[in-house]
Amino acid sequence: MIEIIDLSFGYSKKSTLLKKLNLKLEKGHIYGLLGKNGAGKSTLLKNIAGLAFPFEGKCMVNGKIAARRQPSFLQGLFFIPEEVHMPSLSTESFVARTAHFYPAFDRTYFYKLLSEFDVDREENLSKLSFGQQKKMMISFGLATNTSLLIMDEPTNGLDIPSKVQFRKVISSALSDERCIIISTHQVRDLDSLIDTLLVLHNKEIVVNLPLDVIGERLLFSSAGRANPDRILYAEDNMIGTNTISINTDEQYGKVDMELLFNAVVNGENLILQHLK
Amino acid sequence: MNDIFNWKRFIALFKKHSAENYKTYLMSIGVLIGVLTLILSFITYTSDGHIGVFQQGIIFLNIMIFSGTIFTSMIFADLGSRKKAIPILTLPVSHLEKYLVAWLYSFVVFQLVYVGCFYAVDYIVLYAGNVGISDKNNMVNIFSTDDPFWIAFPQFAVLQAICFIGAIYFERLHFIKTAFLFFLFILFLSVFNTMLLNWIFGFKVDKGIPFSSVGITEAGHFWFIRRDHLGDAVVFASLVLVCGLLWLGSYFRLKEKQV
Repeated sequence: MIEIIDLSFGYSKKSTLLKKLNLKLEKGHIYGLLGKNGAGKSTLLKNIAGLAFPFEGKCMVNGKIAARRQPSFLQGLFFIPEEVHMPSLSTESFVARTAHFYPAFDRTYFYKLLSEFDVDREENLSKLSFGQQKKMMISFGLATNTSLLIMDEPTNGLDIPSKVQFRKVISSALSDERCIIISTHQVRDLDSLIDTLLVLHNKEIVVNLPLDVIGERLLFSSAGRANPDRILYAEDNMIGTNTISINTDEQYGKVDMELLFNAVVNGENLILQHLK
Repeated sequence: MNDIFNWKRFIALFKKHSAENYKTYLMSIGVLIGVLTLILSFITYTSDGHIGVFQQGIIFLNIMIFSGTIFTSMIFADLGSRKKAIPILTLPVSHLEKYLVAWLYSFVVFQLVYVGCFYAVDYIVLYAGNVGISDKNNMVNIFSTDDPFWIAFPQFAVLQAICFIGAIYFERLHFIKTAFLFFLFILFLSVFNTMLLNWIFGFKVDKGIPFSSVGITEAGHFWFIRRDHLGDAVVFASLVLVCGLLWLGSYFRLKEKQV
C-alpha cells in the first residue's frame, strides 16, 4: 500500500527532518505514529499525502508517486490535518460540492457518523466550534471510504466523550481494503485502537511492529512483577517503578505504549535491539 | 482515468470554488461598483453634469488595472495558509484543473464582470448627468480601435500574468510583494535602457522609454524616434510570449506547491 524508500526530507538541505527513511505499510491495519514534538510526524504524513516533496528517495502509495498528486492517487486518500478549515457552507452544501470527488463516498454513513458525534448538521460549517469541525471532518474522511486515511493529531480538540466515540468509530471503520494512520503525541488516545506501532525518532522509523508482537517480546509490569535480571528499562512514577523486561513466557501482555515510547526516545538501544 | 484534465471534474471544481467564494466575490463586486460610482459621479457632479469620453476611458483603464491586479493577487491566497491549503491540494482534481479555475476567475470572469459593472455605472451616471444639460454626454466605447482605451485589455493581460505568478509564488502580502518587485524591475529596466541607448548612440541621449522611443539632440536639433510598425509587432509578440511564460511558470509553481 505505502512504500517509502530512502526518503530524506528537510525544510532546508542543512537541517534534515527525515533521513534515508524506509517504511512499508499495508492495508487492513490501523497504524499509530508516535514521535516527540518536532520529530517529523506531520512531515512524514505530508510526504505520504504528496503535500511535501522529499529531496531524496521516494514515497509510493498504491503504486503511484505521492508527490505527483494525480487525481487517481488523491481519490484513494483522505488527509485530516491537525487544524482543519471549513468553508462557509452548510453541511448539505459542502457534501453536495465535495463528496462526488470521492467515488466511494457513503452519504448515509456520513450522516450516521455526524449523529454519533453529535454534530449539528444545520449549522454553517465555519461557525462550528473547533471540536465540532474536527468531528465533521473525521466523519467526512471516514465516509469517503478511501483506501488510505491519514489523521494528524485527530483527538486534539475533542472532549472526553468524543474521544471515546472516536475510538469506537475508527475501530469499526477498519476493513481489509483500508489503511489508517494516526499520528499523535497523546499516546493514551490510541489505547485499544491501533494494531501496529510506529515510532519516529532520530529522523527514522525505529519501531514498526504489531502490538501483539511487541507484547510477546516485552513485558510491561511493575518492578515487583518483572524478572530483575531481564529488565531493559525502568521508570519511576508516583506509586512505584514501571519496567520493561524481556518476556520469557512469550505470552502476550498489554503494551504500555507511553512507557515504550519513553524508553525509545531516552535512547534505550537494548529495547530496540530486542524488538528487531 | 485522465490525470491531466477531465471536463466533469473541472466543472465540479468550478462549481465548488464558486459556492465557497461567492459571498466574497459578491462583496468585491459591491466595492467595485461603489468605487466606480464615487469617481464617475464625483467628476460629473463637479463638472456640472459633464464627463468626457476621455475621462471615462482613463477611469476605465485605471480602475481595471488596480482592481484586477488586487483581485488576481488574492486568487491563490488560501494556499498561503497551511490549514486552508491542505484540503485544496488533496482534493482529487488535477493541477491543471485547479490552475484553470483560478485563471478563469482572475482573467476571464473578472474582465466580463468589470466591463459589465463599468458600463452599468457609467450608463446611470451619464443618464443622471444628462438631465438638465443641452450638450449631452457621450458614452466611451472601450472596444473601439479609434480610441486608445482598448489598450487596457493587453495591459491588463500582462499585469494579470505578473500578479498571477506572484499570487502563487508568495505565501502572504501577495499584492505588495509583487508590486514591489515589479517596480524594482521597472527601475532596473529604465537604468539599463538608458545605459544601453548611450552605448548604442555613442553619446548621452536625452530620454528613452524602454521598447518605445528615444529622444536625442544632434547639432542643436532635437529628434524624437519612435518604433515603427514592425517594432510594434515585435513588442506585441514579446508581450504575448511574456504572458504565456508567466502563465506557464504559474502552473509549474502550483504543481510544486508544498505545505
